[in-house]
Amino acid sequence: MITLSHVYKTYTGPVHALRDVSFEINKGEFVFLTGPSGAGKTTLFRMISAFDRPTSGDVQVGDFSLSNLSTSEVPFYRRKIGVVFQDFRLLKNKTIFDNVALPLVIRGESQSTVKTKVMDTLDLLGIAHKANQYPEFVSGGEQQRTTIARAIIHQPFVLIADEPTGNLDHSLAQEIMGVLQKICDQGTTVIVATHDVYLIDKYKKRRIEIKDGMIQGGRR
Amino acid sequence: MKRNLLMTSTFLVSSLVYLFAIISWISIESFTHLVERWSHNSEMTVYLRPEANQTEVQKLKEIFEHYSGQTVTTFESTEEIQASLKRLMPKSDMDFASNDELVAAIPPHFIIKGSSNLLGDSLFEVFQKITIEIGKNPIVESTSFGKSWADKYTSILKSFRGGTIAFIIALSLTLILVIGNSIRSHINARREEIEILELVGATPSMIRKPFLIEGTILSSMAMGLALIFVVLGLFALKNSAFDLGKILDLKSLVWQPTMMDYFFALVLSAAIGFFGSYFCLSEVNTGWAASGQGRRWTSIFNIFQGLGRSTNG
Repeated sequence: MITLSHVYKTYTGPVHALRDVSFEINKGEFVFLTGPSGAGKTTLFRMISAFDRPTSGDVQVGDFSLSNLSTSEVPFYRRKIGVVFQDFRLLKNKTIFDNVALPLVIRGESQSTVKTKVMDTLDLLGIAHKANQYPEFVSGGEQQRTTIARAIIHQPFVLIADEPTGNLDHSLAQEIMGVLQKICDQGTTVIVATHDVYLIDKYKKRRIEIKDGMIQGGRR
Repeated sequence: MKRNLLMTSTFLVSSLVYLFAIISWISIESFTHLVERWSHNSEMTVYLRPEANQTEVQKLKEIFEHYSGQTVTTFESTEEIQASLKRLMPKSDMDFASNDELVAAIPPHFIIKGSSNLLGDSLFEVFQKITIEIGKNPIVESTSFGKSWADKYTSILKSFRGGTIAFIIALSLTLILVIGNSIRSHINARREEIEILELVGATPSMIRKPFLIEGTILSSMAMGLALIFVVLGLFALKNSAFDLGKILDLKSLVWQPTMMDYFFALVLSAAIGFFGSYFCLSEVNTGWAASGQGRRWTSIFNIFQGLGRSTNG
C-alpha cells in the first residue's frame, strides 16, 4: 500500500531531513509516526501527501509513484488521499459546510450529492449542527473534526494526519482518535504523526519512530 | 483595506498610463495627418529642353499616362507660358512675354500632381519612380519635387512613429509589471487559501482562473476609464468647445479613432492585464505552493516584493 525505499531528502544548507528511510504500511493499517520535534516527521508527512519530493529514493502510495509524479498528476493524487493538519487549515470566510464540501466541489460533484455527502460526514463526526457556522466561531475540537470531515468526505484510500491532536486537550484528543479509528475500521489506511506519548501508549498501534531523519530500529 | 488601496491605485495608475499612451498615439496620427495634408499640395515639375519637338513631348506624355491613376499631369508649352505671363502681369511696364531671354528662363514643362487619394509617402514614392523612369530621356532638362524636403519629411515621420511605438511598448511592459504586482499582493494575501485548494486537489488552472479574470478586468476597466476621457476630450474638440479650436480648425486636424480602434485598445488592455497576472501567478501556481517551491524566472516581480508583502496584513 505505502512503500518508502531508501528515501533521502536534503534541503539547501545542506540539511539532511531524511536519510535512507524505508518502511511499508499495509492497506487498512493504523500507524503512528513518532519522534521528537525536528526529527523529520513533517518532512515524511509532506512526502506522502505529495507536498514535497524526495531528493532520492522512491515513495509508492497505492498505484502512485510519488518520486516520478508529474506536476499535472499531483492534484489527481491529492484527490485520492485525505490530509489533516495540526493547524486545521480551514477557509475562514467559508462555513463548516462549504469547507467540508470543497473536495467534492473541486471534483465537480452535483449540488445534491455534495449536500447529502457533506451532511452525512458531518453527522458521522457529530458536528452536523455546526454546518452553517464559520470556523472561528466553533471550538478547536470542532475545527479539527471539520478538517477530518474534509479529509474523508471523498473516501480516500489513505488518511494522513499531522499532529491532529496537537492543539487539543486529552479528552478532545481521545475523541479525535476515536474518529480516526472509526475511519480506519472502514478500510482506510491511517497514518498519524504525533509525539503525544499518552496517545501512543493508550492506543496500541504500530509505531514507526524517526529520529534525526532516520528510522529507529532499522527497517520496519 | 491596504489591498483595496493598492488595487485602486493600480487602477488609477494604469488608467493614467493608458491615457498617456492613447494621447501619444493620437498625437502621432494627427501629426501624420497634418503633414499629409501639406504634402497634398506638392507637385512635381519636369523641365524640358527648349529644343524638344512635338513628337518627343508626345512620347513623354505617354509615359506619364501610365501613372494616370495616381497622378494628374498638365503640360505647359513655351506659347502657353508666354500667355500666362501676359495674363498674370498685364499692367507691367515691361513686356515679359516678348522678352525671349526671360521666356527661355522658363522652359516648357510638365506639372504632375497627386490624385486626391494619394498622400504623403506614397505620393513622393510615385514622384521618385517617375524621376527614375524619365531621368535618361534626352529632352528632360531636370525634375523637381522638393526631394530633400520629402526625404526629411519621411525620416521625421518614421522616427516619430517608431519612437511612439517604442514608448507605447515600454508603457505596456510597465503596466504588465504594475498589474502583476497588484495581483501578486492579492495572491500573497490568499496564499493560504491557494494552499488549501491545492491540498484538496484543485488543479493549477482552477486556482489561476479567478486571478487571471481579476487582472484582465482591472486592466480593461482602466483602459475603459482612459477611453472615456479620450472620447470626452475629442468630443469637446469636435464641438469646438474652445475658441482656439475653431480658429485652428482642430476638428479636422486631430485624428479621430474609429470604433475598431477603441475595440482594439480594449482587447490590448485585456491582454496586458491577463499577462501581468499570468506571469505573476506562474511563480506561485505550480501545484506546489504549499511546499514553498516556485519558479524563479519570474523573479523580476521581486522588485515589488516589499510592496506586495506590505499588503499581507
